[in-house]
Amino acid sequence: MNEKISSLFDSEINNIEVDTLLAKKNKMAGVRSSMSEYQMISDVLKKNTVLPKNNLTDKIMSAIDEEPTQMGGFIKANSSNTAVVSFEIWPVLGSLAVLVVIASTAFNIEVNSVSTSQFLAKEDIPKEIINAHHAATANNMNYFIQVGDSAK
Amino acid sequence: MTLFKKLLTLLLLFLPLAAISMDDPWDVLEDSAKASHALNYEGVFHSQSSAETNSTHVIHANIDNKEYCSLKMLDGAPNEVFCAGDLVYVINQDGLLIKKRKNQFLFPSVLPSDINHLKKNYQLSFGEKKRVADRMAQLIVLRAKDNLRFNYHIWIDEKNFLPLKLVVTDNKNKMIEQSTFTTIAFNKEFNKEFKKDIFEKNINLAKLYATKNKFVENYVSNKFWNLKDLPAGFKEVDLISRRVNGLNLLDYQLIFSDGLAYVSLFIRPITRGTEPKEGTVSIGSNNISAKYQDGYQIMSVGMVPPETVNTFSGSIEF
Repeated sequence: MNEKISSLFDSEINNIEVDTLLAKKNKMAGVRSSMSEYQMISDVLKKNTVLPKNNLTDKIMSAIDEEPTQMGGFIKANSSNTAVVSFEIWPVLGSLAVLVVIASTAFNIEVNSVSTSQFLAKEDIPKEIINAHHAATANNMNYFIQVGDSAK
Repeated sequence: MTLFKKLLTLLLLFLPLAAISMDDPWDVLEDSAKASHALNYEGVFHSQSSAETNSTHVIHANIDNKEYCSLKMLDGAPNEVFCAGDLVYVINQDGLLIKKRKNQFLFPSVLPSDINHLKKNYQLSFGEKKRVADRMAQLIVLRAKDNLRFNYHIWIDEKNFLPLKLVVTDNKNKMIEQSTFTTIAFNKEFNKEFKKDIFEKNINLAKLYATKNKFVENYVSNKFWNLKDLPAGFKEVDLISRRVNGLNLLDYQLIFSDGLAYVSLFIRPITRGTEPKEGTVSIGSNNISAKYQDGYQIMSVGMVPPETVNTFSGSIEF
């Protein structure tokens, strides 16, 4: 599922799968959350939007604040546990941090697997489908009688 | 040569032929297919699937090479079915529904007329003999050659070859469905009086019957789909289209069979406000697979393993 969401933001998915994915997004919180995060990664990598202010951004910012980041000669020490980073490196660090956070949490996000069997429930099957099948193919007269009954 | 020697020679000539006939389960199966259409009998059979059980009283007659049957449900609502050739009359408290029979091979006539078609997909063997409905019956097992279909166990009357019991099992030998006679009597004389008794008392064809079947069957002139990678051994045997309730749209039902198993593949336009479904579920003895494609809900239904209905649902290309 994550692979499909990733493909969506890379424009590598066909129209049919987009419809399916959007339908799933509306139904499943896990898929919605994953899509939001992948959208953010996509935006950061393409540098076309500013990171939205939400819990994830806050987590990233506080993680960066708390960790002494070591990035070769780009860093200037500011205090014992923080680092001042030159302005040009922010987008890169931001992207990397987002990826690290996403990677660490992705395995804990409850999303639908590649198999989509959980989406179809018994009550989703229209009764006329079963009746039409038995009416056309029954090898059991009891079914046939009931089909005749229900077709009325 | 004395008469005795002549008779002995004739006996020796024909004995091997008779032995071949008895040794080959395919021959027995072919005789059984014919017997289920030709014999006159009356009895009660019991049907059971994971979802339900019920009993039916059946009379079957062959008069002047035309088949007639009368079936009455013994459990639940007292519905009745009468058959005359290809026409089936279903009667319940609301009225009469007349249908034309196409792919309904009703128990005990479950075998196709072309037995050879089964040879590609099923391996045949004799099983044990046992009593069914107080008659000796020979078990013949049609074991699926692959995982795309279930196994069929048919107990065939030792004397007249009528199937007396049918059990369908999955690949783990778990029962999916069964039908078995509990009582049966042969050698009943059915003549034109039978037709009178059975039909004219119950069905007045002079009266105008309005069938309330909401589906309108149409001839399909434009197949806008292609089928690819169908499960091996299944052939398309019928195609039905119906008008979607209240809309100027059609949905389609393609029917496939391997001779014993039947699968319906539905192509239905998704209407506004309907969410497409995907996945596989079981209802009674049927497995159902749903897929969404290009605005159509694809659904396959059949008494076959889940993998088979999944393959059918994935076989549509627009």
